[in-house]
Order: sequence, then structure tokens, then C-alpha cells
Amino acid sequence: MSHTKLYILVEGVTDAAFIADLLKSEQFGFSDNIAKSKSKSETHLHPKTADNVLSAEIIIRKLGGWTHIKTGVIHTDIQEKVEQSYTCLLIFDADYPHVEESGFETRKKVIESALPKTLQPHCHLYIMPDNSADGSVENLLRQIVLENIGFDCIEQFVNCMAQFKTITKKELIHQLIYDHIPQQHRPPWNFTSPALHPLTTFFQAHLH
Amino acid sequence: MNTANFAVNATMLTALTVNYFKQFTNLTLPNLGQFNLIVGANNVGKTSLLEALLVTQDPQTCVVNLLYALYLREGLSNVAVLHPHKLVSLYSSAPFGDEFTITFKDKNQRIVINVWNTAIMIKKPDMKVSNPTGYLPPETIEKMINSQFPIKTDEFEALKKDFILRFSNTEKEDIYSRNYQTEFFRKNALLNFVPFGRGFNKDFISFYAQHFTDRNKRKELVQQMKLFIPDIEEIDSATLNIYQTGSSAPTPLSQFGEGANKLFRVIMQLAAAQGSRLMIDEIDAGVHRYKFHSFWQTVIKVARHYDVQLFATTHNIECVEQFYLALQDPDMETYQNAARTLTLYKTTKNEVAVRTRNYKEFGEAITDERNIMGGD
Repeated sequence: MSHTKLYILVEGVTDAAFIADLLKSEQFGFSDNIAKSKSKSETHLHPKTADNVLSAEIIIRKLGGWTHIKTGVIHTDIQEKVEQSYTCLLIFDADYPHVEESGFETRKKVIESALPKTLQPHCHLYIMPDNSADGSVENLLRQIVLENIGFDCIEQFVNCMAQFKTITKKELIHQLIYDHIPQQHRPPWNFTSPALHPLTTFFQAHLH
Repeated sequence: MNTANFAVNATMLTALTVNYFKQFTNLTLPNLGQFNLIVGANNVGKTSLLEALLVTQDPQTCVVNLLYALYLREGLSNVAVLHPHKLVSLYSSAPFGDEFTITFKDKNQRIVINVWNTAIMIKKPDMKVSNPTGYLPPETIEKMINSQFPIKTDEFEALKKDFILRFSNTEKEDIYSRNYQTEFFRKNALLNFVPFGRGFNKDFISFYAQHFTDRNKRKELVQQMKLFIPDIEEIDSATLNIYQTGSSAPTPLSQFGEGANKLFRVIMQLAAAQGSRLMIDEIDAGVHRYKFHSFWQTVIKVARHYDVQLFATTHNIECVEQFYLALQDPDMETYQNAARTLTLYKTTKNEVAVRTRNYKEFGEAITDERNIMGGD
């Protein structure tokens, strides 16, 4: 039985919740590791069934911004996990080229060059929305969202709010999507959508 | 490296390396502070690290210290018939030879202990040797113990006699014939090591009587003990009976909860360890979560008062959180730069490594609810 350990670093709360939902979907079959209780910055997942051929530990860590890679404050944390045989997956937004150090190509280069050489072999980068285009996790969510949650309304509301008040768009979108959907409902995403293929392929490559 | 801004005495360690001591193949602890809280998974080596800190330059004293710590942890069972082979397997993990090495970097001091040789020297009741001078005579052991444990109590004197008997070459038949009672060996002098769950014991009665004679010092102790016994008025020095407000009859300290006894012991041991270091295993044991805040503040202040470098272990996240929050109070800010957390973890090569965090670093991790407790 192989044992996979993934340390997944994401930008914000929306990314963390979405990635956790994806890994907990039927495609991957993970569940919350209750023994390692969830905190505001870390989510622990493990395989649903103990007799699964795959033994795995997954930590999803909300960083608060991709710039933590650039400034280096997170490097010691990655090093500590690498020493414990974790593979580090970095999942960040490409954003758009009109902003400095943004856009798929630029963001990829900046992040890759910011990683110390000793860590590079243990870290794998995925740039949202699809590891080739500019944009963000919201672009991906828009493509895979189930119709009935009013995603357009949420985005309009958030964009409108942003004109009057400094807000963290991602956090607000997350709150509106997750906090207003009853817990008993399944996540509002179509995990079989073709738009998700690049991301699921990325995870499958590291879950073996 | 930020080294000496907390160092209030020359014995404080700022960094050390441990080689082949128990499960530590090559463990380096950089950037130590005066107040070090050690965390990590079960069996990663937290208590072993405390034991490594008992190592001294003199090999005999060093092994006696380690045996004494073993005493305190396990009572008689593991110490009664200690063959040198067992000592080697307990303390040395060197692939070849029987050594371990502790390096105190800032003191440029490298201590190499050959456990086998030392064990033969201090205890060899069941081995034939050609050179009997390889044994340590009882008077040498007595001298060694006296120098190592400057705090004397009646119980210590009784224990010392037995200890000499046990680890010297004489009267070996006695060693095997006597039916030692575990309780007897639980009486000990105040070694710089507090094992798990050790609250009340008579060992500190004499120490309190001898070293807390100053009235103001006693008043201060009563104030500190109010954390666990709010209506405490006085502590009787001969009996450690506690007088409380509104009650003429005293209650023995031992009848109070583990928290009260734990705090009393920690304060006694900090006073006994003046100018050196004190190792406390599972410092949270017996302390309610609501008490951690004040408990830490008292421990930190008393440790600073006596110039003691503190190494404590815990599995309790609330204890770690309160270690951080206790230092946030305005009157505690001055201690912040001397606080560290040390997270021990196993690497892919099955070696033990450590992540040291200063106050700012562990504060951010705690605030962010990141796991700094180790474990996998």
C-alpha cells in the first residue's frame, strides 16, 4: 500500500473549501480527518475507508496570498513538511496581466523562481483557473457551478459592494456561497465538468 | 543568530547538538531561549531531550544523573538490576561503540560519554574484572553525589546511602538481597528534572523549611499559591500544612489537587535549580485550562528570578496557546524575547529533527491555528 502525503498550499478560504470539496467528491473519496480537527488555516483529509489501497495524509493550508511564497515566509514550513516526506502542491491564481506580476506566464515564473532550489523538486505548481489561462479560481467555479445557487447574483453583489467598501472579494464570495447553502446539500459544483479536467489530472498525478 | 539577549547567567544554553543519545542520531537545537516549551508526537523524544539536558562533563556524574532521572520516571523496576549492557542500550544509539555526544555550541564544549566504560566504573556487581581499580569506591560515589545534589534533605540522606550501595562495588550481595520498596526510591533530592505527574512528595518539605525562611519570600509564595488555593493564608514549614481563611484546622498540601502540588513543586525546584537549568516533563499535567495563563506567568517570573533556564514538554495545545497569551500581558512583554517553542518531528530518514520558533513565530502560528504540535 503506497502512502502519499500532500501539503497543499492555496491562497484563500474559497480555494481551500473548493479543493477540500473536490477531494471529498466521489472522484477522490477523501473525508475530513476528525482526529486532526479543522482550524481556520488548515484542513486535514484522509481516505474515507481504512482498507483503501491508497493510504494518504492531506493538509490543505490557507496561506492568505501567493506572495507568501515570494517573500519566503512560508519556506521553512514547506521545508519542515518536505523533511517529513510530504509533496507540496501550490495552487494559486494567475490573475490578469494588467496587474504587476500577474497573468499565467508571469505568475508561474515569479513563483517558480521564488522557491529555493532545494525545495523545487518537492513542489508542484498549478495555476488557476486551468494551468494555462489568465484568471482565478472564480473563473473555474463559474464554469462548474450548479445553476441553482445564483452565482451571477453573488458576483454582482460582491462587485457592487467593492465600489463602496474595501472588501476581500474571495472571502465574501465564499461566505455567500457556503454560508447560505444548507449543510445537508452537496457542494454546489459539478465535479464531472470538463473544465475541471486539468485540475483533477494534476491531483491524480500526485495521488498514487 | 540571536543569542545572548536573554542570557541572564553564563550557564544558559543558546544551542546544542545531541549525537547518538537514545533516539537522537544528530539533533541540533539552535536558538534556544530561557523559556523553552517542547512539543511533538508521542515517542518522538521529548522526555529523552530533557534527559540529554542532564548531561554533564564528568562521565560518572552524567550517568548517575541519567540513572536518577530513570529512577524518578520508573521507580525501582528498571533500575534494580542494571547491567552495563542495559545502560548502553538505554542511552547510546551509536552504530559502533557505546558513546553519545552532547555539544554545547556557545560554550565550545563537546562532551563525549562512553556509557559502557562509565557503567563499569560506577556499577559492576555481577562482572569479573581483572582491574578492581576500575570500580569507584563508595566514598568517591558519595563525593560525586554530594557535589551533584547540593540541596540536602533528610530523605536525600537516606536515599544517598542506598544509592551508594547500589552503584558501588561493595556489598553487592546486599544489593540483590534487599527487597527495595518502590516508595523508598521515590524519595529523592531535587534533581533538575521533574518527571510526569510528580506533584506532591515529601522531598521538598525539608527544602522549603531550609530555603524559605525569609518572611517576604514565604508571603510571596502564599500569593502565588492562591492560584490553586484562593483562601490560603499560611504554609507550615515543618509539615506543609495549609492554613486557610476561616478555618483553624490546617489541611495537608497533599490533600489539595495536583495543580496546587504541581505549582508548589515547580516553585521549589526552580529555587533549587538557581543559576542552572530545570527540565519539567508534561508541565500541563494536573493544571486546569483556565489556570494555564496565570500558571505560566508565575513559572516564568519565578524562573527569571532564580536565573533558571526552563525546558518543559507538553501535549496540550491550550498550554501552548496560554504560553503565548500569558506573555502578551503588558507586564510580561519583557520576557517575550526569551520564549521559544521547539517542535520535534521525525524525518523521512526516521531521524528526529526540531523546528524552533521564537515568540513572534509561534504567536503567528497559534493565532493562525496552524499545527505546531508535531504529529502525523
